[in-house]
Order: sequence, then C-alpha cells, then structure tokens
Amino acid sequence: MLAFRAKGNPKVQVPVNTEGTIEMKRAGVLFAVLLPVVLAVPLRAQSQPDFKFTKIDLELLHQADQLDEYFARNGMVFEDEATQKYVESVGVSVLPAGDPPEHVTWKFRVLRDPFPNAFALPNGSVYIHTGLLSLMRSEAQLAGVLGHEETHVLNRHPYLEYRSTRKKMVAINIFAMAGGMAGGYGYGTPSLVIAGISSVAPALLAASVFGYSRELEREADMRGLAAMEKDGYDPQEMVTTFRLLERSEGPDSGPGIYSDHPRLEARIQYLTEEIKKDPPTLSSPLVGAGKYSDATGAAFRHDIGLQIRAVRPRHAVAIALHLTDKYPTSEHYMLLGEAYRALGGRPQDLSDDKLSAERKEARKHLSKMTPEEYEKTLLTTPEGKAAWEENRKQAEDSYREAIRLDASNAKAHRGLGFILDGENKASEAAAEFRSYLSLAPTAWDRAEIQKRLDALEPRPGAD
Amino acid sequence: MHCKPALGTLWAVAAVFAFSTITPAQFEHPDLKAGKAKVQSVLILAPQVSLEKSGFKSTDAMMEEAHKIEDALPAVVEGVLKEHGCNVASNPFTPEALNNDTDLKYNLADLQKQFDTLDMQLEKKPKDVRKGRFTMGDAVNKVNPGGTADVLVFTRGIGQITTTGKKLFSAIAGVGGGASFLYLKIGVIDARAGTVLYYGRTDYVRGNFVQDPDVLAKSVRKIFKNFPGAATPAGKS
Repeated sequence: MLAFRAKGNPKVQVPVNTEGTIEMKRAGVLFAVLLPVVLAVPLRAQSQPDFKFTKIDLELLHQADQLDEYFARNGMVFEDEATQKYVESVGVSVLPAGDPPEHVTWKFRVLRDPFPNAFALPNGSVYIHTGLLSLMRSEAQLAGVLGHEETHVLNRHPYLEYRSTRKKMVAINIFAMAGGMAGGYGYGTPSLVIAGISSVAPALLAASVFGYSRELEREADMRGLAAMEKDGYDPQEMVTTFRLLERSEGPDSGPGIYSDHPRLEARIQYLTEEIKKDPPTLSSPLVGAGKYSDATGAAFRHDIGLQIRAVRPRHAVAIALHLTDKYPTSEHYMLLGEAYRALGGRPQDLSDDKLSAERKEARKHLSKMTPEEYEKTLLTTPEGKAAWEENRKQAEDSYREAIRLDASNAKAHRGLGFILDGENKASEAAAEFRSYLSLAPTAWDRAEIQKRLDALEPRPGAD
Repeated sequence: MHCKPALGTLWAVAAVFAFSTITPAQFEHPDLKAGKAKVQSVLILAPQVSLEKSGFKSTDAMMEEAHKIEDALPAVVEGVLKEHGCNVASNPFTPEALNNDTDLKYNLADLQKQFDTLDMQLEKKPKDVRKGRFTMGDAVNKVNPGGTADVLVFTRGIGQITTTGKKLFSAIAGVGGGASFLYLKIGVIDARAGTVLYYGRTDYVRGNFVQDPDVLAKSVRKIFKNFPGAATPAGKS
C-alpha cells in the first residue's frame, strides 16, 4: 500500500484486544502476515528471475490467495464489469512484456473502500480503492499507480520483506523477554530502563521498516514512472496524483494521511527532478482525462455513498461536484444533494488550520460517540447551525435540479422530502415523500417513509 | 530488592484490570426487559471471526480455522435461540443469492461494517444498551426482505492460538499472551428500527473451540443467559 496513501502505522505484530472492529482486526492480522504488501524493504530495482521459493514464501502466497477470496466473499470488491475491465486494461498496458514471474497471476480489482489507497499481493492481485479512483482524474494517473504496485510484485518485495520481518520478530520477542525478566526480577533503575526499552523497541524496529519503506517506495515510483513513459503516458500525471493526495487531507480524511505528508512532499520533489532530468520524448504524451472519467463514472458514484457512510462528507461533495461539472445529469445532482445533506453542521470551506482542528475534534468525539450522536452535537453550536443552513440550501437546490432534469428520480424526491420536513414545510415534504413512494413502491425504507408521511399528514382514521 | 514486591503488586493489579475488561456480561434494552420488543422471528447474519496464530517468529492469520468457527457458529446460535423459544429464519443470504444480487451483497457488507463501527462504542459503554442509546438506523431494513424478521443477530469472535514456543517464551518471560483463547460477542438488533436490543459477551473461551461446537455452545448459552427470547409478552403476541 503503498505509496498512494499513508501507510498508517505498520505494526510488526498485531495484538488481539477487545477494541476495534473485527474487520479492522482481521485486516490487521492479514496485513501483519502480508506485511510486505504494506511495508517494504530496500531491494534491488531489478526483478528477481532467480528467486527461490521457500516454505515460508509459499505460506505467504497461500495467505494472499485467501485474502483474495475474503475480499470477494465479503462484498468488498466493486463488481462493476466496465470499471473492472478498464482498470485491468490499464494495468496490463504498463506490465513488462513476457510471461509473469513464477506464482504470479495478474488480477486487477477495485475495492469498495473510500480511503485513497492501492496495494498489491504477492500472487499478482493488484487492488485499487474506489476512494483513490474517485480522487484521480486521468488514465495516466491510474497507470502510474498500477505501475507502482506491479513493481512490488515483480521485484518479490512481499516475500523478502516477510522474511525480514520474521527475523525482526525474533528480535522483538527477545527484547520483550528481557523486559519481562526485568519487570519480574529487576533491581532498581537499570531494570526499569530495560523494561522501558522493551516497550519502545518494537516501535524503533517499526521505524526502521518505515525507513526502508521509503526507499522501496522510491524504487516503485521510479519504475512506475518509467512504465508510464514507455506506454506513452504523461509522467507529470504521477506528480499530480501525489498533489491530489496532499489536497485530500482534511478533517474527514482517513487516519495516517498527515503522517505521510513529508514523504509525499519528498516524492513530489524527486519525481519532478527525475522528469526534468529525463523529459518525455513524445510531443503530446497521453493524459486520458476524458476516457478516465467515462470509464470510472460508476466507481465515482458508488464511492459517494461509501464516503458518506465513512463520515467523509467533504470528499463526497468533492466527487459529486466533479460529476455534476462533467456530466450534469439528474442522478449526479441527486448525489450532490445527498452529499450536502451529509455535510450537516460542517462548514463547506475551511482553512487548512481549521480543517486540521476540526479533524482532531472529530476524532476525539467519534471515539466516544456514535456517528449519529456526533452529527447532532455539530448542530448544537452557532457555527454548526449556520453551516447547516448553507448546506441545507445547497442540498435543496441540488435535489430540485435533479428533479427538474428528471421528475422520475425517486431518490431526489426522498432527499427533498427530508430537507423540506426539516424546514417544517409539512405539506411540501409530504408531497415529495408521496412521489418517492409512488416512484419506488418496493423501496427498502418504504415503511419508514410512510411513518414520516403519516406524521406529516395524519390519515383520517389512522391511530 | 525493594522493588520486587512493588513490581509484583503492579503486575497483579494490571492482570486484574486486564481481565476485568472482558468480564462476561449481558445488556438488555429497556423495551426488551419490559417485554415490549418482539423477538419471535430471528435472522442470524454470517458471523465474523478473526483468529491469529501467535508464534515466536511471527503472527499469522488463521483464516481456515476462523472459517471453521464462522461455519459452526450459526447452528450453535440457532440452537440456543430455539431454547429461548425463537423461530430462526432460514438464511436468505446464500452465496448464490448474493452472487445474483450485487446490491444485496453490498448492503449486507455495509451493514456488517456498520455493526463493527457501533461495536466499538458497545465495547466501551455496553451498559448504555440498557438506556436504549444505540441504534443502527433503519438501514437494517435493507437486509430484512419483506420485513419478516423481528431481530437480526450479529456475531463476532476474536481469538488467538498460541504456538508451543510462544507459550514457553511467555512463561519464561513472565509476560501475558501465552494462552489460546476466543472472545465472543453477540448483538441482537431490532430488524425494523435498528435499535440494539441485546448485547452479550463471554469471557475468554478456552478449549478446542476450532473443532468442538460444544465449546462454542457453552459460551453462546452464557451470552444469552438473560435473553428473554420469545417468552416476552410481545414475543408471545
């Protein structure tokens, strides 16, 4: 996972505790196993044709296959055929000629995840999140990301890193043992110092892995860049991807984005230098912005819902604005309405400092509250109320535009009904809810909407 | 030398504190306790279990073993719920059904994820279930076709199998984490309104929990110890 998102905190060992989600824990365990996917080591830039598989490597390969199955079985893969085919075609285009290395079958898949990320498994499965697809704006950017991920597989980084990690684990356990003995049978200050080191040592070791990772990411960046150029893509688009990642930082960004910030800066710098040193030979290298937008629209639309559910409404608004700008359809305006409604009591535009403060505040609150409770809290402040007024207005305008473009857009009527209900416009809200139920008679939320409708317009004889 | 008893006491306090966080407990929504919530028809969603092999050299995922537990748990939960007089609906989310309906597959995945998010709060303040604080919202209707189920059951398990080497190492070092265990928790959610009606968890399950469903059944029975089931006035109606 490379370069295209903060790596979060690459744990060498994932302890089992009673907090956090199963999915997170499972992913944590899997990524601990598949550390090479998450991290990296400084390795030779060339592929490794003479790589010899050991029992440990084959175990890792098996785990990678299982992870593929896990993603598919648990509804995590975005199964839109057109999107999958497009991503695969771009991925294949930046592969080197010839057969894949031993135990590698190239597969390119899109994962339903709103956080901007991409990663590759040692078996050749390359995954890109909808959150990264919806952040990027051109085929050349996609080619750069996929070329980068392919490098990790081609150069067998996962296996080599796993071997290296296992060695480090022994060191960690020895430190822990030393600490345990110190704690149990210690004699004054020295024991406490050893005990302290034992708790810090894993972090230090992890930090060394961080360092290696930078070198490897650089190597993968360089090959990605070369692969793009070879295929006629504009290498400058790789730099743009990093700039987009930088811009995506904000209060509703995923954890870790900020921690990657200096690295992103460094990467932008060395890539820019590399492009200057060896400029593209083609007079008009391929960017493919139009083709990219056409081919990934379904993923963009799908990602808006994921962003909203992940409490990242600013990203949802940004994606929906992009869509309405490119393709001003009823569906896209409806999605824009949904995104503005999800913004709730958050101001639309904030300076970087305020975004950072808001992000910290959100994290603090969300550790204690459910997302619903947090949304309510936002609306209790004067700033929150003012922001909601603005967002509500934008949402209403968007829903109305969606209905103007297509009066049979059921979800736009539903959304507008909620907005009008909030404004205490009972009869107008009821009319919108009635339209929704009439246009979507089998909707999953029919009972709930009918309840609202009854509350707005009590039926004669109803309880 | 004087440090020894002090450190020993600290270790003991830490151990007591650590174990106190996983005390088996059950938490009921007031409506369930008062018999106002109907729990006659139950839909058990696919359990999610995370299991790792903790060794001296590495921590590895044990996906196959986790699947075994995931496969065994629905029948175990069903059996216990039947003991409480509930009707358990047949699972509509077969692999074939999900492959034929991508939206249903996504909705189910999203709802499982939503439960995991809520579970972080449930873990922290499980007693708030008794105040009726937690809900998953009406999105639960997306996986309640025809609104036939009264409640949805979410099951989670987190476990660790420790290798012999690691056990030995833990014993020598005098540090924790040397024993294999499985930690189970179950949420019972109103299938129409999304309210968390019941939340229960076990202490650490020991024994051969991968191979022996009876070991799991014993723990699941403990989780549902205070579950009124279909015996509530609303359940009987």
